[in-house]
Amino acid sequence: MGLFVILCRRVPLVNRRLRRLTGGLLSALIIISVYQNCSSGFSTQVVPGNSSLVGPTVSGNGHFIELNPYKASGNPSLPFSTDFTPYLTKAKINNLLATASGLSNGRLVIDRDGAFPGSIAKSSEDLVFSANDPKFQQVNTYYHIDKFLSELAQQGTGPTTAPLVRIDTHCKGADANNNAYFEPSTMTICLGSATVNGTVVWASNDADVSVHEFGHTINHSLSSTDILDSSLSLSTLDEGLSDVWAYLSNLNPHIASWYGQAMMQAMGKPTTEFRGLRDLTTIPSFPDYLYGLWHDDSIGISTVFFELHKNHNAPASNLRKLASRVLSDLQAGDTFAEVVRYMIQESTAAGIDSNLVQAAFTARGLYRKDSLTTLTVPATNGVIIIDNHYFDPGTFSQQGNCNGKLDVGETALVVINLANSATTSIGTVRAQLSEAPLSPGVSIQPGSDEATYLRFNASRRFVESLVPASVDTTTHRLNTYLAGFFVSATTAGTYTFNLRLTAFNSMDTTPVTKTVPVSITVGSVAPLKALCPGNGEESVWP
Amino acid sequence: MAMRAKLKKRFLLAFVIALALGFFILPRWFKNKSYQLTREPTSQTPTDFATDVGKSPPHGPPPQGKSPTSNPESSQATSQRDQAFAELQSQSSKPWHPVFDSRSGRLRTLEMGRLEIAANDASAGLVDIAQKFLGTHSAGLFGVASEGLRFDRIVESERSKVIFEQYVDGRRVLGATLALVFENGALVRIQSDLVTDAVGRPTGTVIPVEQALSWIEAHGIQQVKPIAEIKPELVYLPHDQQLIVAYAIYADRFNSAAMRIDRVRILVDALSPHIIKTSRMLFN
Repeated sequence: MGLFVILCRRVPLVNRRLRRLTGGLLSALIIISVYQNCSSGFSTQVVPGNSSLVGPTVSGNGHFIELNPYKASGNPSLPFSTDFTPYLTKAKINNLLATASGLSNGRLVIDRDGAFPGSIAKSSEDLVFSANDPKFQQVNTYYHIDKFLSELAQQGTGPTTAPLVRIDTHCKGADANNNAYFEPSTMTICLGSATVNGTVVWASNDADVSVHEFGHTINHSLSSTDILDSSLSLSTLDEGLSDVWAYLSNLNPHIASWYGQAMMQAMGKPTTEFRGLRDLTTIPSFPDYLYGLWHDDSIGISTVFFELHKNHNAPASNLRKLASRVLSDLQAGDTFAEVVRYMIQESTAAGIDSNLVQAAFTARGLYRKDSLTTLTVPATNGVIIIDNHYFDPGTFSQQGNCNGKLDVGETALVVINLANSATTSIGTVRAQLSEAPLSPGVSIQPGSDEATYLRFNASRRFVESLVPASVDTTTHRLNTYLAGFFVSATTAGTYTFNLRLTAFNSMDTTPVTKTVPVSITVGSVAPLKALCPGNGEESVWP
Repeated sequence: MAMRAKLKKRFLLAFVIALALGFFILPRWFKNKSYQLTREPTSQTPTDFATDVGKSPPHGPPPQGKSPTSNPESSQATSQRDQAFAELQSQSSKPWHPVFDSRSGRLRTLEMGRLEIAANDASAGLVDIAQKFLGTHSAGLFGVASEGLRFDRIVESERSKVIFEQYVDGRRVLGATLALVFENGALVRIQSDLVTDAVGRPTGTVIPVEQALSWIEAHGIQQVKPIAEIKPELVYLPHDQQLIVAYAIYADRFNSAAMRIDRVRILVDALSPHIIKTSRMLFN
């Protein structure tokens, strides 16, 4: 869920706070403990097969909670410690495979439980449990996802066959703390927990989380994991469409309002006016709203679905068809521009007025064709060299001497800090760097010759267009990193590169491109440093 | 004051529990672990850069040799493609709109068209129909002989998508697929993420996977535990119309800054070991 985005941006704060409190020891031990638990959890998992389970099905009575405890109780401030058993609803639990060990409808199976391994609900028993019984979360998750799958099946959307997905409704696996996730290599879903004032709040009590995570499995089936991992935009779309599946099933535009609130409180974040992890009722303005983060940026697409449904009465079945068709159209490396084009192109076949789709994207600034004529390499300080990049603690090498220059022996992050002289902003620009001509003195690292400029504000250079580092260092650096290339130097001299730019164009298939020459000077060899001055690598980042 | 004392007591209790837990777990951890824990950083660091954005910083020495970073299609290939496209158009009941890759110029997508091949050959399954189509058109349109394409899967929804994976010299090209989309008895969309048969092959001796894993360990780059259930795979990676031979290794990676585990797929160059890309495999 969007949980992850919060983790990305907030957990380092938690980590720092913990370290400050305990001198680092406690956090280190907790980390080790978590990793140990997670690792052992994975080692015992069985990879589900490629085919769905089949067999005779039965129905039974069971408890579920409508959306989440806030909604079911009618109390948007319901304390997390409340026993919400009185707010549960009794209903038929359908499509249960009679022979399954646990709960299964052939597409999902809940037959293991990380926190409560000895407590597994079975189709042969009465499924009416209290909210405090671990089996309740298993039944609740099954109910909501089975309902979601039934809706897809009735409307002939989504994959009709797909690999079996195993769900742990009390997951203690990797990244389960304040989070939930889908793991495609083993086709498993982990619904984790957040702890608020000693109360463990399970993600499996929030239907938005369950359907969102299962929505990922739909996305990865209709497209593929490789395709959805191939660009920042497609990873973002994966999140956005998972929200769309959740919204169309649960009709809550404030995604994961219960579990999201728990996560916020668990991480000590202010929770006033919390409107879910993502608020689909907003109209974001591209490219200003971009953070370069999957979950946050997904609202550019997901809010269009909400608008079509809420304001234009587009049936949920048609919107599901639209999502399904767009997923099927995706190709490796696609960006938002292609996604917008696919959505407009596929809308008629999905029974939705393409003019409405186009208008919705126009309102968000995503139906556009940018020009690149106003982008230039500034004569001074147009090339930024980050020669001590430190991306992941204890993880990646530091190969620089922190002087802000590319020297012999270094591999540095090179950011061409283009300037936009126009009085309007420019949307996301893709860039490729190549040597012109090839030289043995420098090399662009394989896989690192492509970059993305998130946006260019009016009359600003790229770095000036980002969230300032003083406001959010992590986001600022992430976006800087996104626009960078890794270049290694072996011989001093001045080298010419070609920077090929491709503009955002969702209006047609004609590429808008421009190539600009860039000069990079390589200095003489200098001893590398482990860390730059300034308590780390701070000084080399713009 | 009483509350403060209570909190202090709770905190001390948590500390003692965590301490005990850590000492209990540490020996077990190190017993089976093949990768060493590294010291936590002392500075504020950006996290998840590599995995969030699908691009990793490089490690180790630069790869051997140089390759051009742009390799537009040759005029001969373009001519063949135009001829194949014209032939396809003539067979189709609705014209196709071609979309080209902005960088390489290769044909990437054929959309808006309609070819009634499924309806004309109702006795054959879609996979057979798709294979027959590729036998006729793949080399001309995409520069890839159909022998290099292996059926991967069929996705049935309101449309049927038949997906083929590309193999070069018997080795899978990661992410290189060709998909044929059928709807109401006709081929309606063709999507190619293939590399042409003329693509450059890497030369050199492939290192054993153990050596690739040892390299990661020796460089202290990542605290990773390879996942036993998923064997590392030797694959080709397309890169600027060149191929890189790499190991795809699934692993659990410990991220100390975010205090969590990331399941990742690490692509390691199998000729001159360095990490090409690390992809996060947990979709939140």
